Amino acid sequence: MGTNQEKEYNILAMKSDIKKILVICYHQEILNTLERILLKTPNYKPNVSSDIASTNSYLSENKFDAIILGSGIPENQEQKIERWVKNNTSSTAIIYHYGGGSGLLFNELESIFGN
Amino acid sequence: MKNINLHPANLRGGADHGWLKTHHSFSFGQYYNPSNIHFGTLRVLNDDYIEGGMGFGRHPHDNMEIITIPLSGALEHKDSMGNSSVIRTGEIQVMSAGTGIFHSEFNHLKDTPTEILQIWLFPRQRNVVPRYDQWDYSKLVQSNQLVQILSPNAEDQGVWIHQDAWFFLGEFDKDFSIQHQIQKEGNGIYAFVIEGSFEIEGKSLQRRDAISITELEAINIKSTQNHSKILIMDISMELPKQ
Repeated sequence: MGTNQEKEYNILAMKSDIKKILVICYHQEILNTLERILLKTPNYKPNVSSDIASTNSYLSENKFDAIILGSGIPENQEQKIERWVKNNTSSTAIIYHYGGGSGLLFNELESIFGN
Repeated sequence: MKNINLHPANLRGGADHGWLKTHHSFSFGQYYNPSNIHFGTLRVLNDDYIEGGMGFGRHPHDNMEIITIPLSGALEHKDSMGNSSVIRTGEIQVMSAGTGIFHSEFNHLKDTPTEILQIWLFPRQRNVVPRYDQWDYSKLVQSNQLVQILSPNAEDQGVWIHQDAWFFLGEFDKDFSIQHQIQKEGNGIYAFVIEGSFEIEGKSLQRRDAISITELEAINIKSTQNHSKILIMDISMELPKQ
């Protein structure tokens, strides 16, 4: 998360077309599926989180192009994440993910990153 | 002011994967059209033709109301809630994916294609408890009548979902006319011609064409061919978090 390698990557990502994406989902198997799908696209660099502690850690130490809010996140935690993004990193897009797998995921990302 | 849009079948997205020929009424998978993402809470309408014995392996769903209507053949379903079933023509299946489920869907018939409509609606609430249901409407179908097959109410006829939507199916003789009343103020209509042809609010629709209508309290439907079948979706236009 906050390693030198990650910090170097953050700088690299800013200079390239690579999109840093944080996927938050409390259904571990769906989270694994989303990560696997995103890794198939070379331009997407996903980090994944299935609990509030690692989410806080990722958010405080990285700058993401988009945060995908997947299933099972308690509403109060979802609201906290929304507030944090709004107050600290307004250029980060929040994507409310619906559907589960690849059917809508690329559409959701395309609506943010597409031309 | 009323808003009526015709959606010709040949302008849909789609893909031919050999075992699956699919048409997408809205952006889905590799088909992305920013001006055609959804109609209110109706997000997916896929018209799938699945070769014998083939199907969709285990895959996830979450936070969607997923409705499957077989048009021909039979579809075998297994899910992570322990449900295992076959749905056939004359039945409707619903899954509220909520916090997340995995399932597989295969053509139950080894040598005959199965055709299904798969329809996804945004739920009015995220992270509901997942649930599954299927219902046989075949005995209720009568010529020249719309049969309600889905609603938001568990006590009502048909399956129910976590959204203010009502679905009706009907088969009509040539020149038969019917009026559909909007079920909830503010809802829109997405009508999809399964077979035959219709005239709806003055527009001519052929097989697999659709029409979307908002700001009307009732719509006028006239069959222009014998054995014409239609699916009327009465859809909430209030979107959830996007």
